[in-house]
Amino acid sequence: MKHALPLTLAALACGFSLAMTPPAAANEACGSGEPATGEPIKIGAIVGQTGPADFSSASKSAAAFFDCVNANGGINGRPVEYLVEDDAWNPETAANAAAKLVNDEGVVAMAGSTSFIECGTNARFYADNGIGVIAGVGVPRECFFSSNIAPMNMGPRLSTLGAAIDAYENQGARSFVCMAPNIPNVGGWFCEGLAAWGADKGVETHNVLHDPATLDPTSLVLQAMAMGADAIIVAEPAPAAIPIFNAAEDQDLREEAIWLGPTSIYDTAFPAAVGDYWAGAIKAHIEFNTLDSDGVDNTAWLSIMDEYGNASDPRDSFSQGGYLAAKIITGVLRGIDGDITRQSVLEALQTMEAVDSDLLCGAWSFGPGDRHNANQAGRMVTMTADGWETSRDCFVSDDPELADIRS
Amino acid sequence: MIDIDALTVTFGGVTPIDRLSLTLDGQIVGLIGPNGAGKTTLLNVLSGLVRPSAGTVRLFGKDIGALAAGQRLGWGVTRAFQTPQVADDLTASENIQVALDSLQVPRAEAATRLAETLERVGLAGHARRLGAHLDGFDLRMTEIGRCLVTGPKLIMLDEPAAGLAAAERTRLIDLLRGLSRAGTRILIIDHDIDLIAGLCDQVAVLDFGHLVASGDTDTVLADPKVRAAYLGEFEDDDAEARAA
Amino acid sequence: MAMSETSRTPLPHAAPRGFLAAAASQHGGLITAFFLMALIVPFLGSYWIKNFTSMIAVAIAAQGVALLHARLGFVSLAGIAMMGVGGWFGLRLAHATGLPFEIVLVLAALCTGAAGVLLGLPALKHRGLIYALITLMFAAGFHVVVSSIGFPDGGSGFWGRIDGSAERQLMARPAIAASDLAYFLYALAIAAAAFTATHIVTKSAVGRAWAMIRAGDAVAHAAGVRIGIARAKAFGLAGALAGVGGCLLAGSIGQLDGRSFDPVQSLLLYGLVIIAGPWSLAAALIAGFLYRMFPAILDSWGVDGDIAITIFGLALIHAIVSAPRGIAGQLHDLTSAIQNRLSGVDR
Ligand SMILES: Nc1ncnc2c1ncn2[C@@H]1O[C@H](COP(=O)(O)OP(=O)(O)OP(=O)(O)O)[C@@H](O)[C@H]1O
Ligand SMILES: [Mg+2]
Repeated sequence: MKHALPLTLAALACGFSLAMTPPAAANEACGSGEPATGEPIKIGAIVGQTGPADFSSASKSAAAFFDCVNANGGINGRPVEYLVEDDAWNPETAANAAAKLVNDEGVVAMAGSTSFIECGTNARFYADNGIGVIAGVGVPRECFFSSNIAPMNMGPRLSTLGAAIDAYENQGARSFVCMAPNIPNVGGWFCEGLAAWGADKGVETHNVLHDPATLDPTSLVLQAMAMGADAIIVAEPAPAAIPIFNAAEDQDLREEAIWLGPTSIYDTAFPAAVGDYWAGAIKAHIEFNTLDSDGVDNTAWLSIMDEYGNASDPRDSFSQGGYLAAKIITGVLRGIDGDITRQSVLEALQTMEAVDSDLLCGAWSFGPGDRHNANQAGRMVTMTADGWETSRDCFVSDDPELADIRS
Repeated sequence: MIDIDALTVTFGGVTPIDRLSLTLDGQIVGLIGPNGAGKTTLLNVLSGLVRPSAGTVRLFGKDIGALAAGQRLGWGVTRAFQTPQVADDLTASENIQVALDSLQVPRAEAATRLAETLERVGLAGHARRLGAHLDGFDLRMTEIGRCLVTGPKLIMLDEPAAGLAAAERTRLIDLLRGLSRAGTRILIIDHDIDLIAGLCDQVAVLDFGHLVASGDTDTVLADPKVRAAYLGEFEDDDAEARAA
Repeated sequence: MAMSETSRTPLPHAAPRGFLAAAASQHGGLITAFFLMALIVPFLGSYWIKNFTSMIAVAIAAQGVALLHARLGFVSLAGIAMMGVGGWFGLRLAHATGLPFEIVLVLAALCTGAAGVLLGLPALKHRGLIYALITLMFAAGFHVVVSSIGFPDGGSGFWGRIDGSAERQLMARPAIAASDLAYFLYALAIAAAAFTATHIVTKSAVGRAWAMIRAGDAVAHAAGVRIGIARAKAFGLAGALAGVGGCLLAGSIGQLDGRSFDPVQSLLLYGLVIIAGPWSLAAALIAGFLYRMFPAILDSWGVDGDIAITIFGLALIHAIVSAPRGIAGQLHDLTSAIQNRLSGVDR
């Protein structure tokens, strides 16, 4: 639930263009060989571009990755034609877009989709039509509870829980407040995960759910403080979290609780927006590796963005998710012997071998089954005056709801 | 037939009818008076479109003050307008049918009555013509048809002969005479004194909302007050009328 | 818009004998359009089939807006919002009762019809701009409420919203129309039925009463028309049409979102109905086409869909200035000119 604010773009562009490695790394990540010329293989994506926030970042990095693939051998000589549709955060548009991509264009799979509403609208359609979907970033519950959709990320529920687990294990927190927007299968779902884990651990948990349309930060903060909990998890998108932290600063509440957030507050513009007061006092759980980490995939991601993306494309964790989705589907397509059809692609996805990446903690695979949540481990970062620094490496978010997937 | 007692109508500062008391009885009765005398206003009161500020109105012995316009239609009191009011986008026939709809006349009977009425007002040939394409006389006849189709006790017409050609006027007079013979009472407002003199048993003369005279047509039209207040304006016509 | 404006409208001459003959001559273009859609749309592909289905749903609601404007002289700036109300009832009833789609459709139409009558109540006192603003305020209010409460998705409680987390339910489609294509044809058939019903009503006693009211309150009273009741029937019918449209839309997508129902959409639909020429039954279809398909077509040509709004603005000015009977009127004139040319009749 990160928001690609222009501010973020600027900060990212300045911050990370320096940390680049030479373009050679880019080509390695996406293949080797002559530019692809054969009959294109169509891959689709549906993103919420126009609307309350721009969620198109993952499709931009996926597009850059596919361009790189096409320039370097393609899928055994055939290029990928990547078709991206905007759902405008509207279920009707999302349903029409899926019909267009799947029925009319004949895409063999979807990769890099990122939408607030698309999973819920189209999950059944994908299942009925045997289309496999690697979502770049899944936010609502529906993205994690469908037979044909597997998101790259952990999801905000596990990210929220991860923040709590870290505070439980390392800071001795024994009671929590979960603050989230009251959107069905979004805020409530996040906080339920915390409560289920808390029940197992004998930890007290409270919810402060609010109408997303009316955000009164001061009253939310006071409500949360009144519960007397050790830690407060602000499970909000960054634009909503910033005024909440500002309100807490106004009451000088920094020392009164442990302040936490899920990946959504891991935004390069966030430290400046909340100010020095909070330096060292906010910890965030992140679903992918840090944006400036120096692993192979993170390095390749940044260099592919520079070579094949636009300067204006965000370099954020959505973008990391899109890169991974494109990379994984490319590997799966390359491994298919015989016809590349939606059936063969879905089969290949369901039986794929798990893939490792420095962007992830564990290996990722699509997996069989009725729901998918392969990515279950993340890292912790602590906010500094001008950025974020890693404070804990990979650990699993032990959500009781995932018992069946882990077994 | 029409008994009016101390009737007053006011619109804001205007009092077009001022403590008017009047009795009219006859097969065809006339209402005359100069422009702005309050004739149309009185007709509006009788048909239930205007609520009087004071006074009572009785028709056929019944105080109708409490009846709404639609109820008066059901009770047998109908009217036409000074400027014909016909829906442009309904046919002549449909314009007439509206009154049958209001009275919820059963379908079969409604069809017969509609056909009879169209015949009677001479619109059988133009029945399917839209209101927007009817000429002045047909508009008048459509309105009269809408009154007739309900089988009324009383029809009230506001200057029905205005603007008619001689032949049309004759057809109107024939129609009204026929209706009257069949037992329908008629109240007619007109500036055409010949028409009034030729048709009406009784006449009332209004001026500035007051009654100038009322009674048998001959007597009233001979009344010097009437001649001064109203007929004076039509001296030439009057002379011709007497000569005829 | 005042009553007088509607009665000033130039009218076609035709009034042929016989219900079917009259309907065919008056609505020949519309009937042809329905047949053409049934024949051509199935071959346009899934995306267009879905878009045409939405367009049909909007057209049915637009018929209600056109009805209120042309028959009663009332401006309803809540057309899309009322469709949302219909969708809400459809979803709520479908999830709560599990009844067959057809029955849900009828019930949603009845409930939305009742809502339409309620929205018509202010019309007892207000008309013209004030009434238009009241409907716009309703549309805005509906948007605020439905955005925060959300459309029913199979949860419990009065609002039918899922709490916390659970599988969001999609509205079931009719058993005979599960596929997108079958559902499009189904929606087309419902639209044909709704348009026919509208035609029958306007040719019935109720329609004559509306015409009488347009001619003037005085003559309507004098002809025994119960104006309040006649108006309520129009508001009810317009509401029911919106209900059918909203319910069909909900069935098409399976769920609805507040974002589709912001007041600007209602405002736009009214403008398009005016451009289309609400005095013709075909206007609703034209308005639906402009509302739903025109932006999609521009989009498929790579032209920004928002350009459509600008074009609509110009078209509205054109309609007001030089084509008072709208596109439908111009098409009608054109087809009758051709017919006359072919049959050698000179009018
Ligand atoms: N609704 C109204 N509001 C205000 N004044 C009115 C109204 N109706 C009529 N009047 C006034 O009442 C007076 C009588 O009008 P009315 O129409 O009854 O006259 P009339 O005798 O029918 O005249 P004419 O021969 O010109 O038709 C006029 O001064 C007129 O302006
Ligand atoms: Mg008069």
